[in-house]
Amino acid sequence: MNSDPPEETGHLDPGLDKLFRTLTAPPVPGELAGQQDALTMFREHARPAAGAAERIARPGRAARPRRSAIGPPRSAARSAWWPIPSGVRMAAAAILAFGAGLAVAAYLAVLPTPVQQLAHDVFKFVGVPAAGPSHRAPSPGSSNHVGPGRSPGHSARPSKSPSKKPGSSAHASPSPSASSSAAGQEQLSATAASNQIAAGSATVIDGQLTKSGQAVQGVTVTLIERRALQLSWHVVGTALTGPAGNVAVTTPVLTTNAVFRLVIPGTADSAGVRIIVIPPVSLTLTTGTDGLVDHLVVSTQFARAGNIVVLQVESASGSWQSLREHVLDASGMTRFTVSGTRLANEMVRVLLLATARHGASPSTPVTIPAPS
Amino acid sequence: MASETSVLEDALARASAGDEAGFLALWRALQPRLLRFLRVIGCSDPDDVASETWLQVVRDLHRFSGGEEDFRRWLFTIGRHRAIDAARARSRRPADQMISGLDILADDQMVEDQVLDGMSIRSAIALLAGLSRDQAEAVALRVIAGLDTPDVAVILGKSTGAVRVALHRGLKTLANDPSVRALAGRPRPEASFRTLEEVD
Repeated sequence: MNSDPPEETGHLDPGLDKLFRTLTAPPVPGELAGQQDALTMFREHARPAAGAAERIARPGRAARPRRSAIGPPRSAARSAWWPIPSGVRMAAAAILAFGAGLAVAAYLAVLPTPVQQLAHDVFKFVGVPAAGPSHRAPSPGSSNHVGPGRSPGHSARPSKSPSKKPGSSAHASPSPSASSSAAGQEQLSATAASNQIAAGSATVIDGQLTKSGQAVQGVTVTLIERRALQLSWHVVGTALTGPAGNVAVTTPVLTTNAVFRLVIPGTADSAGVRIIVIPPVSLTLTTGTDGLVDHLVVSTQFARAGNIVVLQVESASGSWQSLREHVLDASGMTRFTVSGTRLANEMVRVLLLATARHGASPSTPVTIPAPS
Repeated sequence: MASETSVLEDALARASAGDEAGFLALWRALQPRLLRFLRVIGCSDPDDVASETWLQVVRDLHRFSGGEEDFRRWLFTIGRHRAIDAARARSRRPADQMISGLDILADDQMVEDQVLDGMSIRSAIALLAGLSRDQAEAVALRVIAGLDTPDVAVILGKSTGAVRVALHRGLKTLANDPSVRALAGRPRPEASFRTLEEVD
């Protein structure tokens, strides 16, 4: 890909030409703030393609003929990963599928009570809930449930239906916030007092269960969580609904952003509640011997190596203007050296830029002293 | 010297093989444009949607075959779908659950002091975002994603002709915008201009 605008724009209206050059300009630091997170995600989820070594050996090859479909086709050479007779593979796949199906069913707590309890006894370490008051077998007609085991929002394959318009009900996979139930069925809400919390703290997810507008008491509601850059949902707590159908479940201590949902497997699930964590950022001023050069030491908690902090100065209008940016080291620290003369008596701060794992976080401002 | 396209072809092949450096090269080249595209189409949380987009790409990359242009088309298709999903999810939330925390993720605090030709990236994105949805998507996919018109039509599920019309109207609106006229040194609108489609 060329970083320049499309070649035709050279013949365009000069204003549009400049506009397009701006839109395709090189990245600004904030746009690459999530690089470390992206790399971590790649390490955790990437799988090499079959025959990849051969492709690397010919990096300059011509692109293959364009496909009509948008998504990547399955590789015909994929079986190279598994040099096992096909019959054995099929048997193994059947066993795995059965096991996975059982695990998902147990995780969703839609098994018959004794089986669910047994699954809980065996798999409780991975969050399979016990059979409880709300536990019930799925009804054949219950098609509205969107469970965590379906990996909401992430279809197993790249979507092949790019033509769907926004709002199209047939579009894509179930949304992570797919809401609960049709009219006359249970409605489960979920809220948080604040969608921002300090990193390293917990919050409470409040919910209410109603049916046809009436509160439903004594039902076990499960809180599930999906952390930033993770695919899977995990059970993090359960609670019984109170007289008003209300329920409150405390989240785990959070050091990364996460989405929470309250679910009653097979019955209702709430919309997702996203919690953004704000890492603490401290800024310490060290004045040089003559006051001409000062040092600003930045330290953070719960940020990661490669995250970006921006040194900012307060303008006369009260807004913060960016001066320069640094990348945090492995210990979550960095240091700015500033001119005590140019910034004398100016208020400065650093801003940790937001990534997928955390929100943006400014430090407490400090004033640069005038040279003595 | 190798062109950027061939460099990205190489990066794509390496990323498909599990090479981190290859993936990072791809990510660094396309993430900014993905974020800009998501902002143009009104995505309220572009960082999160972009992350979900890349997550799906990483999971399925081993099954991808094609060139850099195919990859770009795939990436932006997924990104658009994830943005639509996010918008639908957001619309289902109660009003008091609109994510106030996104205020701090908004790009008003991003470092965008790199100004080209007197216009910041943020201002340029805002200009495109001010078009109608169809026009904004068409122009963004054409210009920011660098896709050709037939590919844009496939992604948007429209005919090529309809996309050309949307592009034409969108570019005409942009060209007559006062800030764009100022960039061109034209204080008043001009009667005509050449569009992308007229030179296609």
